[in-house]
Parts: sequence; structure tokens; C-alpha cells
Amino acid sequence: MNDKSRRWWSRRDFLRSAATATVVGAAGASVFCRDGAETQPVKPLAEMAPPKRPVPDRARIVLVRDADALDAGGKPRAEVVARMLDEGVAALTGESGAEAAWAKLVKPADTVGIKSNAWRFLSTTPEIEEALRKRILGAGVTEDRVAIDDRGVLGNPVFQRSTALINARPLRTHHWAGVGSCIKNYIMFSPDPPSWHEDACANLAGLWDLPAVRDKTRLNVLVMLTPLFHGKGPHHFDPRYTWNYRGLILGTDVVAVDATGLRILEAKRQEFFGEDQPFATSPKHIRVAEEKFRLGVADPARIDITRLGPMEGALI
Amino acid sequence: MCKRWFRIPFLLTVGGLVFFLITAAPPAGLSAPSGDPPDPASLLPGQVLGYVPQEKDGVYTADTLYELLDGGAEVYRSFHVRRVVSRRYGKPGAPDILADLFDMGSSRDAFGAYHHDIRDGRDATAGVESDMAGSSLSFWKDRYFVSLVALADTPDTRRAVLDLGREIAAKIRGTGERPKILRLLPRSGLMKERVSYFHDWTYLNTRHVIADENLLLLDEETEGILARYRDEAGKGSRPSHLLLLVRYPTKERAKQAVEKFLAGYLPGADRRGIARRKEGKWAAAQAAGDLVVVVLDAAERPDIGKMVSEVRRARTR
Repeated sequence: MNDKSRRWWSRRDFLRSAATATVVGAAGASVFCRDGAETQPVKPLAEMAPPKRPVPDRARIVLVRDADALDAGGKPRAEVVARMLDEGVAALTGESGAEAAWAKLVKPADTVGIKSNAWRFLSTTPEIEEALRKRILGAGVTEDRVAIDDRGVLGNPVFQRSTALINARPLRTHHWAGVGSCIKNYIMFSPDPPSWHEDACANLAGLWDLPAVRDKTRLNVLVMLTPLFHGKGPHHFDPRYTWNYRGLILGTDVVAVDATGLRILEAKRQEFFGEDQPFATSPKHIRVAEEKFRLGVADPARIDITRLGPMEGALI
Repeated sequence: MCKRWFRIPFLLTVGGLVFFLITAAPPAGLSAPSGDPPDPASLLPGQVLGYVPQEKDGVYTADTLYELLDGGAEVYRSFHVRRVVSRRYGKPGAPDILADLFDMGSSRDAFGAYHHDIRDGRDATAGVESDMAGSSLSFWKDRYFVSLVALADTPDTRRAVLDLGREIAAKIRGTGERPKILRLLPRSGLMKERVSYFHDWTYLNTRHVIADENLLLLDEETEGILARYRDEAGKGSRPSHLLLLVRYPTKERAKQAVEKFLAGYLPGADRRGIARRKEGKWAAAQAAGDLVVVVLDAAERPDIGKMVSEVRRARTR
């Protein structure tokens, strides 16, 4: 375990998490548990049974960057991000072209939900969503069996009968979880999302064992076009704390994808603040995803990164 | 004799009045509305530099604030937020600007909400205190905390955010006072941008982790301030220590709190309430009447006696 990993588990983190948990608890069911009988109870970390699946020895992810990914106004260029996705997916699957790569990920008989993120300050972006949809249709899935959704996934008929999920969202710091990344993106599959806030959202990887999700994810796309590395203000958003990273991280191991995104955020905070700046809330759910839920590889030493495009300023 | 008979009803009247004032006054932690508040939406301008509302205003209460804020509602709930109006301004070809006006019920809670974040931007001369950086502006005035942020930072959004903030501030008639406990902070070395006001212990733990239990016996009747100080009495630039002041309704409560704090946080404290923590930093705590003075995170052995004297002196000013 390296120094940064140890920091996730410091006494300070534990107490801060406990404070967060207490704040959530103090808020009471009337605040958070909106769905009455449909809500699921908070699961304390100690009470959640760890799955028995093995964690792979190593994981592989792809980091793809392109200097032209954003226009002068910071908006994604649709054709560039589509090309980045194609190159990334081909590298990830070991195929020479995007069509063959996508044929490995989804089959014509699949029903595919693209789980995006609609946070108004920093969304998955329509450009990424459309590029994903186009490639899924190109793999032979009919239009009526593809849907893009975030907050409505539980009521969306395509998601309800989905056989495959594509998980795509931007990276940002987050008030409750330390960081919001691909693991956390499935919180909308829970009927009671706030119940997962306990203990700095440590149990988020448990979401991946919900029936609507389990074993369905074919690809994770962590959108690193303009990540948010620090939160300020009521919305935890200030454009000064985003930067044009112009990248995407792709992988089938969601924990490895998130752990790599986290390293980049830590490096950016170090660069910006000039000192090691711990997150206000520990992003320990990524480490817990490996150690308790055995969902994937969080240890950077066991993650192989295929790098595509310019790597100046990549921070890892 | 006659005078004595007159004195009794007089004393009863005065006593009754004092009793009424004591029982009617809200405890330290409760909000005191500063007059009849206007409709919060009326404090937001109809247009600024071509930016106009893009959709119907969002209106939230303490119970629904989580619908607006993805994760931060509890902060404002701990400061007794009453109502929030959220308006999105936009104009063609320009990034939108989001304006959130929080009615906190009292100026001290508006101050607390404002100081939840480190305030290291420039003064925008909007409200009592303001913090502007890029296209983000926050300020507090009277019972209101206002946050303005553009979705992207451009020269145009900077101008619009500034104008918007100043117009809102001008529409707020009152001014409001900072929490009185703030005056008790020693000035030398104080990092004004790093001052937090609080009522409850869970919020305090989000500013500086102390314990997973309420060692300082904080509740709705207490109010506190946490401030960061520089070293060398303010001459240096490195942070030196944190000073925590809590005011209790009675001296007895303050004494109980300091005893519980020393037992739980500084079990090895000497008779002056000073100890070095396991991580190597010093801490100290003493009661001073209805106040508790706590030093945290100090690189060197703190002179808690001197700090208590300074606080006492500030109180008599």
C-alpha cells in the first residue's frame, strides 16, 4: 500500500466519515428517504457481506487525449471525441478498428442502457452520449433497444430490460463521496440514493450487485474533458476549479478506471494548491471497492495504462 | 411605608419584564428574523446586461433543499435555512449564470453560511462581506446569503455576475450584524478568510475533525467560532494553530463541556488543560465564564492562559 492509499484510511478520514454519516443520519428519513416503502435501508459497512468473486491480479485501462477535443469555448468537438472513443475502445479490446471493437462489447441481441450523468454543471455531454449511441447502433442493436438516461433509469423500460450497460460520466470532486466517478454513477439504480451516503459513501461498490446492474457493464468511460478538481459554493462547483484535460479513460474494470482518475485529480490539486490538499471527504469508496467488494483493481501498481495521444500535462 | 408598597408592584413589573425578555429571547443558536422578510424572488433583478431568467425560479425550503443541492444541503440546514430561491440567467451565445439567494433567518446564520467556504477572493463591495473570483461571487447581507456562479468564466460573465450581485445587494434593505462572538477572537495573526461559525458538532467536525461524539456538548443553545491563525503572531505566512471559542447559556454548561472535552480529547492534559496529541500537535482547553477556549493543531506548546486573558479583555471592550 502506498502513501496515498494509507491516507485514505487515516483516523482523520474515519472521523470525518463518521461526521458525514452523522450529518446524514441527523437529516432523518424525512429529508432523504423520499420513496417511503420502496426505500432500502442504510447498510453499515460492517453488515454488508463481501462477494466471493476473485479480484484480478492486474487491470488494463486506456487513457486517450486529443489537443483538439475542445473548441475555444471549452465545448467538446463531436467528431474529435467520437474519434477518441473509437481509438480508445479499439485499444482496449485489441481490435484494429472501432466496429470490430464494439462488436466485442455488444451483440445485436442486446438491449443497451447508456448510463450518463446529467449534473447541470458538468455532464457526460451530448457529444459523448451520441458517439456511444451511434456505435451501439452500428453494432447491430436496434434503435428501440438503446436508451440514454441518468435519473430516470429505474423507470426507463429499456434499462428495465437491459442486458448490457455502458457507463459514462465526468470526473469531479463530490461533497459526500470525495469524488464522483464511474462507480458512483450507478447510484440512480438504487430506489433510495441517499442511503448510500453513509461513511463517506464507502459502500458505493455495493450498487454494482443490484439486480438491475450486476454483470451487465460492458464499458466504463470516465469523461476527463474538463474535470472538476475542487469544490466551492453551495453547488460544489466553480469553473475556476475545472481544467481542460481533454481526455477520456476507458476500461472494463470500473475500479481501475476510477482509481486512475483519482490519481489525476490528486496530482492536479497538488499542482494547483502547491501542497498536498486532502479531499474534504475521503474518496475511500474506490479502495473499498477492491478490498471489500472485490469489484476490481484499485492499486495503481497493478493497473496497466495504454496511453494514446499527447501526454504532456497528463499528470500520471 | 407607603413607598415600600409602591416598590413591590414596581419590582414585580420589572421582574416580570426581565423574565419575559429572558424567556422570549431566542437561544444563541436559534435564528431571529430581522423583520418581515420580502418575497426572496423580489430581490433578484429581472435582467442584467442582457441576461434574463431562463426558466421558472426554483423555490426550496429546508426540507426540500436537497433537490437543489447535490450533497451540500445539510450545511445550510445546520444554519437554519428558511427559504432559497434559485434563478438561472442566460443570454444567447453566453454561459448561463446561476443565482441562489438563501434566506437564513438571521444575519449571524447568513454569516455562517457565507463563511462555510474559505473566503480568499477579492472584495466586490456587495453586501457586508463579499468574495469574488473569476465569475463566482458570494456575499452576505442582513439575513441573506447569496451565491452567483457562471457555468463558464468569461469577461462578459464576470461583468454580469458583478452587476447582478451589486443589484441584489442594493435591493436588500437591512445590513445585519456579524455574530458577537466574533469580536472575542484575538486579532493578531488571525486569518480572516478562514473563520467558521457553527452551532452543532457535526458541522464543526466537517471544518476540523475532533471526535465521533459531541465532546463539547454543542446544541441549539450554543454558538461557536473556529479560526485559523498564522505563526509568529501573524508575521509569518504558515498556519500556526486553530482557536475555537464556544459560548454556552451558563457557566456550569461551559465547565461541564471543558471537562468532557479534556477527558475525551486530551486525557493527558496538565492542570492548565494542555497536552501534546499522539500526532505531535499540541492542544489545550480552558473555561472562561460561559465560554470555552480551545487551541487545536498547534505546532508549539500553546499559552492558553494568555489566550483566555485576551478573550476576557475583548469581552470587556
